[in-house]
Amino acid sequence: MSGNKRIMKEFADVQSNPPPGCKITLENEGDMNLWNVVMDAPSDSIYAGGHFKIAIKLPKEYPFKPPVLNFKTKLYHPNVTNDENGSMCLGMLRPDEWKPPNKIADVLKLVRTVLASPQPDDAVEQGIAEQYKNDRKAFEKTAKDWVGKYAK
Amino acid sequence: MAEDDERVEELGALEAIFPELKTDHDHFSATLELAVSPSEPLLVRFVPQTSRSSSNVTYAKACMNGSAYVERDVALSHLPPLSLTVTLPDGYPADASPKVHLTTDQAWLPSGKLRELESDAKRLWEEYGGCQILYTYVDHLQQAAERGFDLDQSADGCLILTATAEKELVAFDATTKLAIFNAGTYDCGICLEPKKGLSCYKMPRCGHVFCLQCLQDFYNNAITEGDVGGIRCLDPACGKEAGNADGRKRKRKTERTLHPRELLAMGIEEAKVRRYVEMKRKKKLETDKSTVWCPRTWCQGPAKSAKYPPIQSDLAAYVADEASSDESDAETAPNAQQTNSPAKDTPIALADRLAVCEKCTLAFCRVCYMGWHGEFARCFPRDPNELSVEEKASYDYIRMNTSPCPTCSSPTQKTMGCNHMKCFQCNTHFCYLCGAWLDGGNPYIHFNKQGSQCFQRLWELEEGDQGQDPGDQRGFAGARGWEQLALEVAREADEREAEAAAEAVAHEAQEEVDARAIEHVIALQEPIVLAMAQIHLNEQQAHEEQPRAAQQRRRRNPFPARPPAAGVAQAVRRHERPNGAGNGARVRRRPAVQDEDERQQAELQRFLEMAQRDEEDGWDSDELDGDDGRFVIR
Repeated sequence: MSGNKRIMKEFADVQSNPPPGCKITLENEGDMNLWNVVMDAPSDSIYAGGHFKIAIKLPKEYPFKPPVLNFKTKLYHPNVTNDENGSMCLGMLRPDEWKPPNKIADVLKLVRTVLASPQPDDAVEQGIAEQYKNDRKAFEKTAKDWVGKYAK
Repeated sequence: MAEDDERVEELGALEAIFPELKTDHDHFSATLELAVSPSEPLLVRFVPQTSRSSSNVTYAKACMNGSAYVERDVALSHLPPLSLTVTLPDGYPADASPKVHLTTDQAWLPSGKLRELESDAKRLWEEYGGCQILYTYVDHLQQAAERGFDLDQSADGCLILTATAEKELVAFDATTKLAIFNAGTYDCGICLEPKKGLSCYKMPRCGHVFCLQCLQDFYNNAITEGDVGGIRCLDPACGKEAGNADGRKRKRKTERTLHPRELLAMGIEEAKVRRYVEMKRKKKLETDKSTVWCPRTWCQGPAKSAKYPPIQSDLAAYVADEASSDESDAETAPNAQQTNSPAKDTPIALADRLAVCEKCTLAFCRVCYMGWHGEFARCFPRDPNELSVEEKASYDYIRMNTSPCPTCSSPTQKTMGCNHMKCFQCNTHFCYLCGAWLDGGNPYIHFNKQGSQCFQRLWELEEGDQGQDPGDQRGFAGARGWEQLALEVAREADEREAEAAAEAVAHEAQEEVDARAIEHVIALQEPIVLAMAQIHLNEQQAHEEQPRAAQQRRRRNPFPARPPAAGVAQAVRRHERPNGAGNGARVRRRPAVQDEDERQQAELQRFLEMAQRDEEDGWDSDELDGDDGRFVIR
């Protein structure tokens, strides 16, 4: 499997040169397809100070199929589903947008960008997106509350 | 000759600089091939051979021959080498200039240019005052080659060659490029490994490089999954800028898909590539509104069209999309208006009506969808979506005589029994009349709740939903009311469209209605409409009957066998019949309304009890009709 080799290579790369604010480990030794990431929210974002656990599942067709991202830490964000999955499906993560040369490091960079600036027009949580657009104060308050509650 | 002949010395020096130099020391001559790879790709225009004099004529000819072969401009980065043969005469360098002869493979460089370059040797020799000139001259030639021999400075701005040379020159360009590419090393963005050029592939359109293994894996997978849109360059940024800048993202997107030739070049199996081409073509045919489909229901293949030629056996030569899509950018814009609307607005020319199915080769008329009737037959447009007579009939039948399951929409026809239905597909309990979901535990509440539109209508249509008078809207009051409405609207629209036809239909319909009406009159001795009106009254005004209506109701039905058309009426009648009606006392009577209600309740009670034991089928209300077949309409 060329995919597996590539995953090894990518994993080695992110170990020696981790994407900003990310700590990457394997969920369990010997399974290269389940990555655990702890991401520190960008300091200039409303999530600043929060540490978010993200599970990345690399499908067996990876890199031909996009990885699946789940926030394990609850997060109040229009682009992350507000359920136990905490799924995110944005831009390059979409199956029809995904291109094999994209790497997990690129994906994590995208995640950080989206944390810093939510994309309400591409939201999975319409309610949060509406609030983000129309009542930014309330949105930020809840988001910060949640960071304090779940992401410390 | 003396060993210290300057000519020997110079040739030796040149040999050291150009190891590929072939020298003939005996005749003081040497041959050298000089690569021609201009720094700016050289624009070459290939014109059909006879076009020198008047190109307009050949355009016309080319078009008439059906060949799309017109002038083509090609930018070539590599051209066949310039081969230089130099002979140093006695007295060189002091007294005689070197004799040079220049040629090119495929004679692509115009002889005028060659002679000019040859004469440069003498000019240089003179300029340098009769000294050793060979290296300077070779360098001069190389620099000229680098500049593309200034051919783009000519009046035409490019090199003009006959079309016959195109193939070889383009091939030379390609093989040279490939050789250079193969010698390189590239990092494949997919497997992240450095790979030799030989096992990589460079996208001809955008120049992105990936390794063959990854490309094959990806595209094979995409083709297997039917993901035609995924067959594009895999570089994440590829094609994005162009699409956004233009604001025509979609167009760009479809254009980005790869040509089958490229897939073949990557070493993807021909069968796979063919599947890709077929899927792509099918998609295009299906999205093109102007596509005409074969009217044979078992075929439904697309009609042959010049726009989508059949896929050739040689996929590499497939030209249906990519090659033409550059033109189609400009071409489809005006075309789109033409192709989308003409079906309705402009009549199709007589000669253009012939369509031939590419699958079953049926020749048919694209206007009336009948077998081809020749150019001179009159025919009337038929919507390809329109159903055949048989289909329409069965469709109408389904609409008129069935009720859809509210859960799975399976058409359900009641052949007999009550209106509590259980879907054979999904086991949903529902009301046949209004399509309401019923509680499987106690479905009859629906028919016993006062105020419900189906109150007391459990046994309507008991004999089955068939053969009722179409004028009777009651059976369809619920679930199918809107369908009837839609049918009506559609019918009206049809009538407006084809009045003549509609008239005939109306006439027939009228006859039918008349015939039926007569039947009913015979059957009931009163117009069915009246009968229905009575039943309505009966239901709504059970407690305040008007004497006149009551009188009419006391009619006798002279026909023991019930005409099917009266199913509803009878169902209602029967179910409202007093309990004791079956015991032989066949007297006309008019029970007090109170009594009647009680009896009704008792009857229903009995039925419900049976129903709970699941024996309601045994409740044969026919027995209540009595033997003499005479019964009373309340």
